[in-house]
Amino acid sequence: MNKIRVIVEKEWDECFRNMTVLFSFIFLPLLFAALASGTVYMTSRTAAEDAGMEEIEATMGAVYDESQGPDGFLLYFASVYLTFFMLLPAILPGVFAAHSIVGEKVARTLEPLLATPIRTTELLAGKALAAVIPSLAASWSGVFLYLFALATFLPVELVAELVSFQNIFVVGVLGFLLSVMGVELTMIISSRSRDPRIAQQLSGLVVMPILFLFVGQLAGFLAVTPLFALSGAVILGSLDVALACLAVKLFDRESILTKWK
Amino acid sequence: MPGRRSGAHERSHQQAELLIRAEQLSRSFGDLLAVDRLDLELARGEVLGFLGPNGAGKTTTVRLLAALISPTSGTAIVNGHDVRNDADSVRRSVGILTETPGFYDRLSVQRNLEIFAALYDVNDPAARVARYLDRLGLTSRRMDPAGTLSKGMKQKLAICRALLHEPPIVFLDEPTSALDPEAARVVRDFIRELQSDGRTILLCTHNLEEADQLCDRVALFRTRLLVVETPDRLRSRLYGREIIFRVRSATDAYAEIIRGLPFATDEFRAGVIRRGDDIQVSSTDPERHNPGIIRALTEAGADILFVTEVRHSLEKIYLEVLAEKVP
Repeated sequence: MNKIRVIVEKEWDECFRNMTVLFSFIFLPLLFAALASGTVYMTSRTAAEDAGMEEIEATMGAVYDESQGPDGFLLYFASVYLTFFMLLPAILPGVFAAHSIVGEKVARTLEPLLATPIRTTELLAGKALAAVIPSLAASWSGVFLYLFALATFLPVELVAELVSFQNIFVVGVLGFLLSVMGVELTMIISSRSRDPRIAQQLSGLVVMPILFLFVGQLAGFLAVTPLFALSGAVILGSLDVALACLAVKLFDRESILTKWK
Repeated sequence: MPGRRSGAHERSHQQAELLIRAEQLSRSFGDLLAVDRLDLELARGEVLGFLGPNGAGKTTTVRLLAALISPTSGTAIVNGHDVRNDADSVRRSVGILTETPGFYDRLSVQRNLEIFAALYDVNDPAARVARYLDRLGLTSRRMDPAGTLSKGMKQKLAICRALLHEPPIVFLDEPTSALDPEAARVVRDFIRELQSDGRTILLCTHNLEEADQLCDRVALFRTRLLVVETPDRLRSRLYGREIIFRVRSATDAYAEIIRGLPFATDEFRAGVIRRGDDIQVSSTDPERHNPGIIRALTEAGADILFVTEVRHSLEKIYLEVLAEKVP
Protein backbone atom coordinates (compact mmCIF):
# COMPACT_ATOMS: atom_id res chain seq x y z
CA MET A 1 0.00 0.00 0.00
CA ASN A 2 2.88 2.30 0.87
CA LYS A 3 4.47 1.88 -2.55
CA ILE A 4 1.15 2.57 -4.29
CA ARG A 5 0.88 5.82 -2.32
CA VAL A 6 4.45 6.72 -3.26
CA ILE A 7 3.69 6.19 -6.94
CA VAL A 8 0.43 8.17 -6.76
CA GLU A 9 2.14 11.12 -5.03
CA LYS A 10 5.06 10.96 -7.42
CA GLU A 11 2.75 10.96 -10.44
CA TRP A 12 0.80 13.93 -9.16
CA ASP A 13 3.95 15.82 -8.25
CA GLU A 14 5.42 15.24 -11.67
CA CYS A 15 2.42 15.44 -13.98
CA PHE A 16 0.69 18.44 -12.44
CA ARG A 17 3.85 20.48 -12.92
CA ASN A 18 3.32 19.86 -16.60
CA MET A 19 1.27 22.79 -17.89
CA THR A 20 -0.41 20.68 -20.61
CA VAL A 21 -1.75 18.24 -18.04
CA LEU A 22 -2.71 20.94 -15.58
CA PHE A 23 -4.42 22.95 -18.30
CA SER A 24 -6.38 19.88 -19.47
CA PHE A 25 -7.60 19.11 -15.97
CA ILE A 26 -8.70 22.70 -15.36
CA PHE A 27 -9.81 23.77 -18.82
CA LEU A 28 -11.73 20.69 -20.00
CA PRO A 29 -14.24 20.64 -17.08
CA LEU A 30 -14.82 24.36 -17.62
CA LEU A 31 -15.27 23.86 -21.35
CA PHE A 32 -17.61 20.91 -20.90
CA ALA A 33 -19.69 22.82 -18.34
CA ALA A 34 -19.88 25.84 -20.63
CA LEU A 35 -20.78 23.78 -23.71
CA ALA A 36 -23.40 21.70 -21.92
CA SER A 37 -25.04 24.55 -20.05
CA GLY A 38 -24.88 26.77 -23.15
CA THR A 39 -26.65 24.15 -25.23
CA VAL A 40 -29.31 23.59 -22.57
CA TYR A 41 -29.76 27.36 -22.29
CA MET A 42 -30.33 27.72 -26.04
CA THR A 43 -32.74 24.79 -25.98
CA SER A 44 -34.61 26.26 -23.03
CA ARG A 45 -35.09 29.48 -24.99
CA THR A 46 -36.53 27.49 -27.90
CA ALA A 47 -38.73 25.49 -25.58
CA ALA A 48 -39.96 28.67 -23.90
CA GLU A 49 -41.09 29.92 -27.29
CA ASP A 50 -42.75 26.54 -27.84
CA ALA A 51 -41.05 26.47 -31.22
CA GLY A 52 -40.54 23.01 -32.65
CA MET A 53 -41.92 21.21 -29.56
CA GLU A 54 -44.34 19.25 -31.67
CA GLU A 55 -41.52 17.82 -33.74
CA ILE A 56 -39.52 17.04 -30.62
CA GLU A 57 -42.48 15.29 -29.03
CA ALA A 58 -43.00 13.33 -32.23
CA THR A 59 -39.46 12.04 -32.37
CA MET A 60 -38.49 11.85 -28.71
CA GLY A 61 -41.75 11.55 -26.90
CA ALA A 62 -41.00 7.96 -26.06
CA VAL A 63 -37.93 8.78 -23.99
CA TYR A 64 -39.25 11.57 -21.72
CA ASP A 65 -42.40 12.45 -19.86
CA GLU A 66 -44.49 14.43 -22.36
CA SER A 67 -47.10 15.27 -19.75
CA GLN A 68 -44.66 17.73 -18.15
CA GLY A 69 -44.50 19.73 -21.38
CA PRO A 70 -41.34 21.70 -22.19
CA ASP A 71 -40.02 21.24 -18.62
CA GLY A 72 -40.12 17.49 -19.07
CA PHE A 73 -38.13 17.78 -22.24
CA LEU A 74 -35.63 20.18 -20.63
CA LEU A 75 -35.18 17.83 -17.69
CA TYR A 76 -34.51 15.01 -20.10
CA PHE A 77 -32.24 17.13 -22.26
CA ALA A 78 -30.24 18.41 -19.27
CA SER A 79 -29.84 14.89 -17.91
CA VAL A 80 -28.59 13.68 -21.31
CA TYR A 81 -25.91 16.32 -21.06
CA LEU A 82 -24.87 14.84 -17.73
CA THR A 83 -23.84 11.82 -19.78
CA PHE A 84 -21.61 14.20 -21.67
CA PHE A 85 -19.55 14.56 -18.49
CA MET A 86 -18.72 10.86 -18.56
CA LEU A 87 -16.39 11.77 -21.39
CA LEU A 88 -14.12 13.59 -18.93
CA PRO A 89 -13.08 10.59 -16.83
CA ALA A 90 -12.62 8.70 -20.09
CA ILE A 91 -10.48 11.34 -21.79
CA LEU A 92 -8.44 12.79 -18.92
CA PRO A 93 -6.73 9.57 -17.75
CA GLY A 94 -5.40 9.23 -21.29
CA VAL A 95 -3.90 12.72 -21.08
CA PHE A 96 -2.42 11.85 -17.72
CA ALA A 97 -1.20 8.41 -18.73
CA ALA A 98 0.43 9.87 -21.82
CA HIS A 99 2.66 11.92 -19.56
CA SER A 100 2.90 9.29 -16.86
CA ILE A 101 3.90 6.21 -18.87
CA VAL A 102 5.39 7.75 -21.99
CA GLY A 103 7.06 10.43 -19.90
CA GLU A 104 8.79 7.81 -17.76
CA LYS A 105 10.29 6.25 -20.83
CA VAL A 106 11.27 9.52 -22.47
CA ALA A 107 12.90 10.73 -19.25
CA ARG A 108 14.65 7.34 -18.86
CA THR A 109 13.29 6.94 -15.35
CA LEU A 110 11.54 3.66 -16.02
CA GLU A 111 14.62 1.47 -15.65
CA PRO A 112 15.57 2.81 -12.20
CA LEU A 113 11.91 2.53 -11.22
CA LEU A 114 11.66 -1.08 -12.40
CA ALA A 115 14.95 -1.81 -10.64
CA THR A 116 13.29 -1.12 -7.28
CA PRO A 117 11.49 -3.96 -5.49
CA ILE A 118 8.10 -2.62 -6.56
CA ARG A 119 5.65 -5.24 -7.76
CA THR A 120 3.88 -4.88 -11.08
CA THR A 121 0.50 -4.73 -9.32
CA GLU A 122 1.72 -1.90 -7.08
CA LEU A 123 3.18 0.05 -9.98
CA LEU A 124 0.07 -0.33 -12.13
CA ALA A 125 -2.30 0.38 -9.25
CA GLY A 126 -0.33 3.51 -8.37
CA LYS A 127 -0.32 4.77 -11.92
CA ALA A 128 -4.00 3.91 -12.44
CA LEU A 129 -5.15 5.61 -9.25
CA ALA A 130 -3.00 8.63 -9.99
CA ALA A 131 -4.83 9.02 -13.30
CA VAL A 132 -8.34 8.03 -12.20
CA ILE A 133 -8.68 10.10 -9.00
CA PRO A 134 -8.01 13.56 -10.49
CA SER A 135 -10.02 12.63 -13.58
CA LEU A 136 -13.06 11.87 -11.45
CA ALA A 137 -12.45 15.03 -9.44
CA ALA A 138 -12.30 17.06 -12.65
CA SER A 139 -15.43 15.32 -13.93
CA TRP A 140 -17.42 16.07 -10.77
CA SER A 141 -16.15 19.65 -10.78
CA GLY A 142 -17.53 19.96 -14.29
CA VAL A 143 -20.87 18.47 -13.22
CA PHE A 144 -21.16 20.90 -10.30
CA LEU A 145 -20.32 23.84 -12.55
CA TYR A 146 -22.90 22.61 -15.04
CA LEU A 147 -25.62 22.29 -12.40
CA PHE A 148 -24.70 25.67 -11.01
CA ALA A 149 -24.93 27.22 -14.48
CA LEU A 150 -28.31 25.53 -15.11
CA ALA A 151 -29.63 26.95 -11.86
CA THR A 152 -29.07 30.45 -13.20
CA PHE A 153 -31.64 30.07 -15.97
CA LEU A 154 -33.77 27.02 -15.09
CA PRO A 155 -36.12 26.64 -12.12
CA VAL A 156 -34.14 25.35 -9.12
CA GLU A 157 -36.71 22.55 -8.62
CA LEU A 158 -35.97 21.32 -12.13
CA VAL A 159 -32.22 21.35 -11.51
CA ALA A 160 -32.77 19.55 -8.20
CA GLU A 161 -34.55 16.78 -10.08
CA LEU A 162 -31.35 16.23 -12.06
CA VAL A 163 -29.57 15.26 -8.86
CA SER A 164 -31.28 11.88 -8.82
CA PHE A 165 -29.85 8.59 -7.69
CA GLN A 166 -29.88 7.35 -11.27
CA ASN A 167 -27.94 10.32 -12.61
CA ILE A 168 -25.43 10.18 -9.76
CA PHE A 169 -25.03 6.47 -10.45
CA VAL A 170 -24.55 6.99 -14.18
CA VAL A 171 -22.02 9.80 -13.87
CA GLY A 172 -20.33 8.55 -10.71
CA VAL A 173 -20.23 4.80 -11.03
CA LEU A 174 -20.26 4.33 -14.79
CA GLY A 175 -17.88 7.27 -15.20
CA PHE A 176 -15.50 5.73 -12.69
CA LEU A 177 -15.67 2.32 -14.35
CA LEU A 178 -15.04 3.83 -17.78
CA SER A 179 -12.15 5.82 -16.37
CA VAL A 180 -10.57 2.68 -14.96
CA MET A 181 -11.10 0.97 -18.28
CA GLY A 182 -9.34 3.80 -20.14
CA VAL A 183 -6.30 3.54 -17.91
CA GLU A 184 -6.22 -0.25 -18.11
CA LEU A 185 -6.42 -0.16 -21.89
CA THR A 186 -3.56 2.36 -22.00
CA MET A 187 -1.44 0.08 -19.86
CA ILE A 188 -2.27 -3.08 -21.73
CA ILE A 189 -1.51 -1.53 -25.09
CA SER A 190 1.62 0.14 -23.68
CA SER A 191 2.96 -3.15 -22.45
CA ARG A 192 2.47 -4.86 -25.80
CA SER A 193 3.38 -2.03 -28.10
CA ARG A 194 6.81 -0.86 -29.13
CA ASP A 195 5.54 2.66 -29.54
CA PRO A 196 3.81 4.01 -26.44
CA ARG A 197 2.09 6.73 -28.47
CA ILE A 198 -0.04 4.03 -30.09
CA ALA A 199 -1.27 3.13 -26.63
CA GLN A 200 -2.35 6.66 -25.97
CA GLN A 201 -4.22 6.90 -29.26
CA LEU A 202 -5.92 3.50 -29.01
CA SER A 203 -6.99 4.04 -25.41
CA GLY A 204 -9.01 7.00 -26.67
CA LEU A 205 -11.39 4.45 -28.19
CA VAL A 206 -12.97 4.10 -24.75
CA VAL A 207 -14.95 7.29 -25.47
CA MET A 208 -16.84 5.52 -28.26
CA PRO A 209 -19.49 3.84 -26.07
CA ILE A 210 -20.05 7.12 -24.24
CA LEU A 211 -20.53 8.98 -27.49
CA PHE A 212 -22.91 6.24 -28.60
CA LEU A 213 -24.86 6.63 -25.37
CA PHE A 214 -24.88 10.43 -25.65
CA VAL A 215 -25.88 10.60 -29.31
CA GLY A 216 -28.37 7.75 -28.85
CA GLN A 217 -30.17 9.67 -26.14
CA LEU A 218 -30.13 12.91 -28.10
CA ALA A 219 -31.49 11.15 -31.16
CA GLY A 220 -34.23 9.59 -29.06
CA PHE A 221 -33.50 5.92 -29.76
CA LEU A 222 -31.82 5.17 -26.46
CA ALA A 223 -32.98 5.83 -22.93
CA VAL A 224 -30.94 5.36 -19.78
CA THR A 225 -33.21 3.40 -17.49
CA PRO A 226 -32.24 2.04 -14.06
CA LEU A 227 -31.91 -1.41 -15.62
CA PHE A 228 -29.72 -0.04 -18.39
CA ALA A 229 -27.47 1.75 -15.86
CA LEU A 230 -27.23 -1.30 -13.62
CA SER A 231 -26.51 -3.65 -16.52
CA GLY A 232 -23.89 -1.20 -17.79
CA ALA A 233 -22.24 -1.10 -14.38
CA VAL A 234 -22.14 -4.89 -14.11
CA ILE A 235 -20.70 -5.26 -17.62
CA LEU A 236 -18.15 -2.47 -17.17
CA GLY A 237 -17.19 -3.68 -13.69
CA SER A 238 -16.62 -7.20 -15.00
CA LEU A 239 -14.61 -5.86 -17.91
CA ASP A 240 -12.55 -3.72 -15.55
CA VAL A 241 -11.69 -6.69 -13.36
CA ALA A 242 -10.80 -8.80 -16.38
CA LEU A 243 -8.73 -6.00 -17.89
CA ALA A 244 -6.94 -5.39 -14.58
CA CYS A 245 -5.89 -9.05 -14.46
CA LEU A 246 -4.88 -8.89 -18.10
CA ALA A 247 -2.92 -5.65 -17.55
CA VAL A 248 -0.90 -7.21 -14.72
CA LYS A 249 -0.31 -10.34 -16.76
CA LEU A 250 0.69 -8.48 -19.90
CA PHE A 251 2.73 -5.71 -18.29
CA ASP A 252 6.03 -7.03 -19.49
CA ARG A 253 8.91 -5.26 -17.76
CA GLU A 254 11.35 -6.82 -20.18
CA SER A 255 9.61 -5.59 -23.31
CA ILE A 256 9.30 -2.13 -21.89
CA LEU A 257 12.99 -2.06 -20.97
CA THR A 258 14.35 -3.63 -24.10
CA LYS A 259 11.95 -2.73 -26.90
CA TRP A 260 10.75 0.79 -26.18
CA LYS A 261 13.05 3.22 -27.94
CA MET B 1 47.98 2.09 -7.66
CA PRO B 2 47.13 -0.17 -10.57
CA GLY B 3 47.43 -3.83 -9.89
CA ARG B 4 48.33 -3.29 -6.28
CA ARG B 5 46.03 -6.00 -5.01
CA SER B 6 46.50 -8.65 -7.64
CA GLY B 7 48.42 -11.26 -5.68
CA ALA B 8 46.46 -10.94 -2.47
CA HIS B 9 43.32 -10.74 -4.47
CA GLU B 10 43.80 -14.17 -6.01
CA ARG B 11 43.98 -15.75 -2.58
CA SER B 12 41.20 -13.69 -1.07
CA HIS B 13 38.89 -14.33 -4.00
CA GLN B 14 38.94 -18.04 -3.31
CA GLN B 15 38.25 -17.52 0.39
CA ALA B 16 35.85 -14.58 0.34
CA GLU B 17 32.10 -14.80 0.31
CA LEU B 18 30.77 -14.84 -3.23
CA LEU B 19 28.09 -12.22 -3.79
CA ILE B 20 27.53 -12.97 -7.46
CA ARG B 21 27.73 -16.38 -9.05
CA ALA B 22 26.51 -16.76 -12.62
CA GLU B 23 26.45 -20.21 -14.15
CA GLN B 24 25.95 -20.71 -17.87
CA LEU B 25 23.85 -17.56 -17.89
CA SER B 26 22.42 -16.92 -21.35
CA ARG B 27 19.94 -14.54 -22.85
CA SER B 28 18.56 -14.35 -26.35
CA PHE B 29 16.25 -11.80 -27.96
CA GLY B 30 14.59 -13.74 -30.76
CA ASP B 31 17.41 -14.99 -32.92
CA LEU B 32 19.93 -12.64 -31.35
CA LEU B 33 22.12 -14.21 -28.71
CA ALA B 34 23.07 -11.37 -26.37
CA VAL B 35 24.76 -13.29 -23.56
CA ASP B 36 26.20 -16.74 -24.13
CA ARG B 37 26.80 -19.12 -21.22
CA LEU B 38 28.37 -16.64 -18.85
CA ASP B 39 30.18 -18.10 -15.86
CA LEU B 40 31.23 -15.39 -13.45
CA GLU B 41 31.96 -15.03 -9.76
CA LEU B 42 32.39 -11.84 -7.77
CA ALA B 43 33.49 -11.80 -4.15
CA ARG B 44 32.39 -9.33 -1.50
CA GLY B 45 34.31 -6.08 -1.87
CA GLU B 46 35.60 -6.92 -5.32
CA VAL B 47 35.56 -4.45 -8.22
CA LEU B 48 35.22 -6.13 -11.58
CA GLY B 49 35.69 -4.14 -14.77
CA PHE B 50 33.28 -5.40 -17.40
CA LEU B 51 34.78 -4.44 -20.72
CA GLY B 52 33.62 -4.98 -24.24
CA PRO B 53 32.64 -3.19 -27.42
CA ASN B 54 29.26 -1.53 -27.92
CA GLY B 55 26.56 -4.14 -28.37
CA ALA B 56 28.65 -6.80 -26.64
CA GLY B 57 25.85 -7.60 -24.17
CA LYS B 58 27.22 -5.79 -21.13
CA THR B 59 23.98 -3.94 -20.35
CA THR B 60 21.99 -7.13 -20.88
CA THR B 61 24.29 -8.90 -18.43
CA VAL B 62 23.77 -6.17 -15.84
CA ARG B 63 20.02 -6.38 -16.34
CA LEU B 64 20.14 -10.15 -15.92
CA LEU B 65 22.16 -9.89 -12.72
CA ALA B 66 19.86 -7.16 -11.41
CA ALA B 67 16.79 -9.34 -12.11
CA LEU B 68 15.40 -6.77 -14.50
CA ILE B 69 15.17 -9.37 -17.23
CA SER B 70 15.11 -13.15 -17.01
CA PRO B 71 17.74 -15.46 -18.42
CA THR B 72 16.87 -17.70 -21.34
CA SER B 73 18.94 -20.41 -19.69
CA GLY B 74 21.40 -20.78 -16.87
CA THR B 75 21.10 -19.01 -13.56
CA ALA B 76 22.67 -16.44 -11.30
CA ILE B 77 22.72 -16.18 -7.54
CA VAL B 78 23.05 -12.59 -6.38
CA ASN B 79 23.62 -11.98 -2.67
CA GLY B 80 22.18 -15.43 -2.04
CA HIS B 81 19.05 -14.88 -4.12
CA ASP B 82 18.20 -16.55 -7.39
CA VAL B 83 17.51 -14.03 -10.16
CA ARG B 84 14.85 -16.34 -11.56
CA ASN B 85 12.82 -17.01 -8.42
CA ASP B 86 13.53 -14.17 -6.04
CA ALA B 87 13.71 -11.04 -8.16
CA ASP B 88 12.48 -8.68 -5.41
CA SER B 89 15.26 -9.76 -3.03
CA VAL B 90 17.83 -9.42 -5.81
CA ARG B 91 16.59 -5.91 -6.54
CA ARG B 92 16.91 -4.98 -2.88
CA SER B 93 20.50 -6.24 -2.94
CA VAL B 94 21.70 -4.25 -5.93
CA GLY B 95 22.01 -0.62 -6.90
CA ILE B 96 22.14 0.29 -10.56
CA LEU B 97 23.61 3.31 -12.23
CA THR B 98 22.34 3.14 -15.79
CA GLU B 99 24.34 4.51 -18.68
CA THR B 100 21.98 7.44 -19.25
CA PRO B 101 20.25 7.94 -15.94
CA GLY B 102 16.96 9.80 -16.06
CA PHE B 103 15.24 11.84 -13.38
CA TYR B 104 11.92 13.45 -12.71
CA ASP B 105 13.27 16.72 -14.02
CA ARG B 106 10.52 18.95 -12.66
CA LEU B 107 10.95 17.59 -9.14
CA SER B 108 13.65 18.71 -6.77
CA VAL B 109 16.84 16.77 -6.28
CA GLN B 110 15.69 15.86 -2.77
CA ARG B 111 12.22 14.78 -3.89
CA ASN B 112 13.73 12.54 -6.56
CA LEU B 113 15.73 10.74 -3.92
CA GLU B 114 12.86 10.61 -1.42
CA ILE B 115 10.72 8.77 -3.97
CA PHE B 116 13.34 6.07 -4.44
CA ALA B 117 14.10 5.87 -0.72
CA ALA B 118 10.41 5.17 -0.13
CA LEU B 119 10.28 2.57 -2.91
CA TYR B 120 13.26 0.79 -1.36
CA ASP B 121 11.60 0.93 2.11
CA VAL B 122 14.51 2.88 3.56
CA ASN B 123 14.15 3.59 7.28
CA ASP B 124 14.30 7.31 8.06
CA PRO B 125 14.49 8.28 4.38
CA ALA B 126 15.01 12.00 5.10
CA ALA B 127 18.20 11.32 7.06
CA ARG B 128 19.48 8.85 4.46
CA VAL B 129 18.80 11.27 1.61
CA ALA B 130 20.50 14.10 3.49
CA ARG B 131 23.54 11.90 4.19
CA TYR B 132 24.04 10.92 0.55
CA LEU B 133 23.42 14.46 -0.70
CA ASP B 134 26.10 15.62 1.70
CA ARG B 135 28.45 12.80 0.77
CA LEU B 136 28.33 13.71 -2.91
CA GLY B 137 28.29 17.46 -2.42
CA LEU B 138 24.72 18.04 -3.58
CA THR B 139 23.25 19.52 -0.40
CA SER B 140 23.29 23.09 -1.68
CA ARG B 141 21.33 22.02 -4.78
CA ARG B 142 18.81 19.82 -2.97
CA MET B 143 15.80 22.06 -3.63
CA ASP B 144 16.65 22.73 -7.27
CA PRO B 145 14.72 20.88 -10.00
CA ALA B 146 16.77 17.87 -11.09
CA GLY B 147 16.49 19.06 -14.69
CA THR B 148 18.62 22.10 -13.91
CA LEU B 149 21.66 20.09 -12.81
CA SER B 150 24.78 19.77 -14.94
CA LYS B 151 25.67 16.36 -16.38
CA GLY B 152 28.26 15.80 -13.67
CA MET B 153 25.80 16.70 -10.92
CA LYS B 154 23.19 14.41 -12.47
CA GLN B 155 25.68 11.58 -12.46
CA LYS B 156 26.31 12.18 -8.78
CA LEU B 157 22.55 12.25 -8.17
CA ALA B 158 22.21 8.96 -10.05
CA ILE B 159 24.91 7.45 -7.86
CA CYS B 160 23.07 8.68 -4.75
CA ARG B 161 19.89 7.07 -6.06
CA ALA B 162 21.66 3.78 -6.72
CA LEU B 163 23.08 3.68 -3.20
CA LEU B 164 20.22 5.03 -1.08
CA HIS B 165 19.21 1.56 0.09
CA GLU B 166 22.87 0.75 0.80
CA PRO B 167 23.06 -2.32 -1.41
CA PRO B 168 26.03 -4.66 -1.04
CA ILE B 169 26.28 -4.89 -4.84
CA VAL B 170 26.50 -1.95 -7.20
CA PHE B 171 26.32 -2.04 -11.00
CA LEU B 172 27.84 1.03 -12.60
CA ASP B 173 27.29 1.41 -16.32
CA GLU B 174 29.69 4.00 -17.79
CA PRO B 175 29.77 6.10 -14.61
CA THR B 176 32.20 8.68 -15.97
CA SER B 177 31.23 8.80 -19.63
CA ALA B 178 30.92 12.34 -21.00
CA LEU B 179 31.98 13.87 -17.70
CA ASP B 180 34.61 16.56 -17.53
CA PRO B 181 37.89 15.43 -15.94
CA GLU B 182 37.11 17.00 -12.57
CA ALA B 183 33.65 15.45 -12.33
CA ALA B 184 35.05 12.12 -13.52
CA ARG B 185 37.68 12.24 -10.78
CA VAL B 186 35.03 12.91 -8.13
CA VAL B 187 33.06 9.90 -9.36
CA ARG B 188 36.17 7.70 -9.46
CA ASP B 189 37.10 8.77 -5.94
CA PHE B 190 33.62 7.87 -4.82
CA ILE B 191 33.91 4.45 -6.44
CA ARG B 192 37.10 3.93 -4.43
CA GLU B 193 35.16 4.89 -1.29
CA LEU B 194 32.51 2.33 -2.16
CA GLN B 195 35.24 -0.22 -2.66
CA SER B 196 36.72 0.55 0.74
CA ASP B 197 33.18 0.23 2.22
CA GLY B 198 33.32 -3.39 1.06
CA ARG B 199 30.79 -3.12 -1.74
CA THR B 200 30.96 -5.44 -4.69
CA ILE B 201 31.07 -3.40 -7.85
CA LEU B 202 30.57 -4.39 -11.45
CA LEU B 203 31.91 -1.52 -13.52
CA CYS B 204 30.99 -1.36 -17.20
CA THR B 205 33.28 1.10 -18.89
CA HIS B 206 35.01 1.94 -22.14
CA ASN B 207 37.58 3.92 -20.20
CA LEU B 208 40.30 1.29 -19.91
CA GLU B 209 42.62 3.46 -17.87
CA GLU B 210 39.81 3.87 -15.38
CA ALA B 211 39.28 0.11 -15.30
CA ASP B 212 43.01 -0.38 -14.77
CA GLN B 213 42.99 2.04 -11.86
CA LEU B 214 39.84 0.89 -10.12
CA CYS B 215 39.35 -2.78 -10.81
CA ASP B 216 40.68 -5.85 -9.04
CA ARG B 217 39.88 -7.91 -12.10
CA VAL B 218 38.69 -7.16 -15.59
CA ALA B 219 36.34 -9.29 -17.66
CA LEU B 220 36.57 -8.91 -21.41
CA PHE B 221 33.22 -9.73 -22.88
CA ARG B 222 31.71 -10.00 -26.32
CA THR B 223 28.50 -12.00 -26.09
CA ARG B 224 30.58 -14.57 -24.21
CA LEU B 225 33.24 -14.10 -21.59
CA LEU B 226 36.58 -13.95 -23.39
CA VAL B 227 38.78 -13.64 -20.34
CA VAL B 228 38.53 -12.63 -16.70
CA GLU B 229 41.74 -11.85 -14.90
CA THR B 230 43.58 -9.23 -12.90
CA PRO B 231 45.00 -6.54 -15.18
CA ASP B 232 48.55 -7.50 -14.18
CA ARG B 233 48.05 -11.18 -14.84
CA LEU B 234 46.57 -10.34 -18.20
CA ARG B 235 49.68 -8.33 -19.01
CA SER B 236 51.88 -11.11 -17.82
CA ARG B 237 49.91 -13.68 -19.78
CA LEU B 238 50.09 -11.67 -22.96
CA TYR B 239 53.52 -10.13 -22.80
CA GLY B 240 55.36 -11.82 -19.92
CA ARG B 241 56.91 -9.37 -17.49
CA GLU B 242 59.35 -6.91 -18.91
CA ILE B 243 61.91 -5.02 -16.84
CA ILE B 244 63.92 -2.07 -18.09
CA PHE B 245 67.39 -1.46 -16.60
CA ARG B 246 68.54 2.02 -17.55
CA VAL B 247 72.30 2.13 -17.38
CA ARG B 248 74.55 5.13 -17.99
CA SER B 249 76.34 4.64 -21.34
CA ALA B 250 75.01 1.10 -21.73
CA THR B 251 76.79 -1.24 -24.15
CA ASP B 252 76.03 -4.69 -25.53
CA ALA B 253 78.52 -6.02 -23.00
CA TYR B 254 76.04 -5.37 -20.20
CA ALA B 255 73.36 -7.29 -22.08
CA GLU B 256 75.81 -10.18 -22.53
CA ILE B 257 76.50 -10.19 -18.77
CA ILE B 258 72.78 -10.61 -18.13
CA ARG B 259 72.51 -13.38 -20.73
CA GLY B 260 75.39 -15.17 -19.01
CA LEU B 261 73.78 -15.32 -15.57
CA PRO B 262 73.39 -18.84 -14.12
CA PHE B 263 69.58 -18.82 -14.11
CA ALA B 264 69.37 -17.68 -17.77
CA THR B 265 67.54 -20.13 -20.02
CA ASP B 266 67.48 -19.88 -23.80
CA GLU B 267 64.10 -18.18 -23.62
CA PHE B 268 65.45 -15.73 -21.02
CA ARG B 269 68.52 -14.97 -23.15
CA ALA B 270 66.33 -14.27 -26.18
CA GLY B 271 64.39 -11.78 -24.11
CA VAL B 272 67.37 -9.58 -23.26
CA ILE B 273 67.50 -6.63 -25.67
CA ARG B 274 69.49 -3.38 -25.50
CA ARG B 275 67.92 -0.19 -26.86
CA GLY B 276 70.24 2.73 -26.27
CA ASP B 277 70.81 3.02 -22.53
CA ASP B 278 67.89 0.71 -21.78
CA ILE B 279 68.38 -3.01 -21.38
CA GLN B 280 65.00 -4.73 -21.57
CA VAL B 281 64.68 -8.10 -19.87
CA SER B 282 61.67 -10.40 -20.26
CA SER B 283 61.40 -12.50 -17.15
CA THR B 284 58.94 -14.98 -15.77
CA ASP B 285 60.08 -14.23 -12.23
CA PRO B 286 61.61 -10.76 -11.94
CA GLU B 287 61.43 -10.76 -8.13
CA ARG B 288 63.97 -13.66 -8.19
CA HIS B 289 66.02 -12.54 -11.19
CA ASN B 290 66.35 -8.78 -10.65
CA PRO B 291 68.66 -8.82 -7.59
CA GLY B 292 71.12 -11.06 -9.48
CA ILE B 293 71.00 -8.84 -12.56
CA ILE B 294 71.58 -5.68 -10.50
CA ARG B 295 74.52 -7.32 -8.65
CA ALA B 296 76.11 -8.51 -11.88
CA LEU B 297 75.75 -5.12 -13.59
CA THR B 298 77.08 -3.25 -10.57
CA GLU B 299 80.09 -5.60 -10.29
CA ALA B 300 80.74 -4.91 -13.99
CA GLY B 301 80.96 -1.20 -13.16
CA ALA B 302 77.56 -0.18 -14.58
CA ASP B 303 75.82 2.87 -13.17
CA ILE B 304 72.20 1.73 -12.88
CA LEU B 305 69.98 4.80 -13.14
CA PHE B 306 66.51 3.20 -12.98
CA VAL B 307 64.88 -0.21 -12.79
CA THR B 308 61.32 -0.11 -14.12
CA GLU B 309 58.70 -2.70 -14.90
CA VAL B 310 57.05 -2.07 -18.27
CA ARG B 311 53.29 -1.74 -18.02
CA HIS B 312 51.46 -2.38 -21.27
CA SER B 313 48.27 -0.39 -21.44
CA LEU B 314 45.03 -2.21 -20.79
CA GLU B 315 43.85 -0.77 -24.08
CA LYS B 316 46.54 -2.72 -25.92
CA ILE B 317 45.58 -5.90 -24.07
CA TYR B 318 41.89 -5.27 -24.72
CA LEU B 319 42.45 -4.90 -28.44
CA GLU B 320 44.62 -8.01 -28.54
CA VAL B 321 42.00 -10.06 -26.71
CA LEU B 322 39.14 -8.83 -28.88
CA ALA B 323 41.24 -9.67 -31.93
CA GLU B 324 41.42 -13.18 -30.38
CA LYS B 325 45.18 -13.17 -30.24
CA VAL B 326 45.07 -14.33 -26.63
CA PRO B 327 44.55 -18.05 -26.08
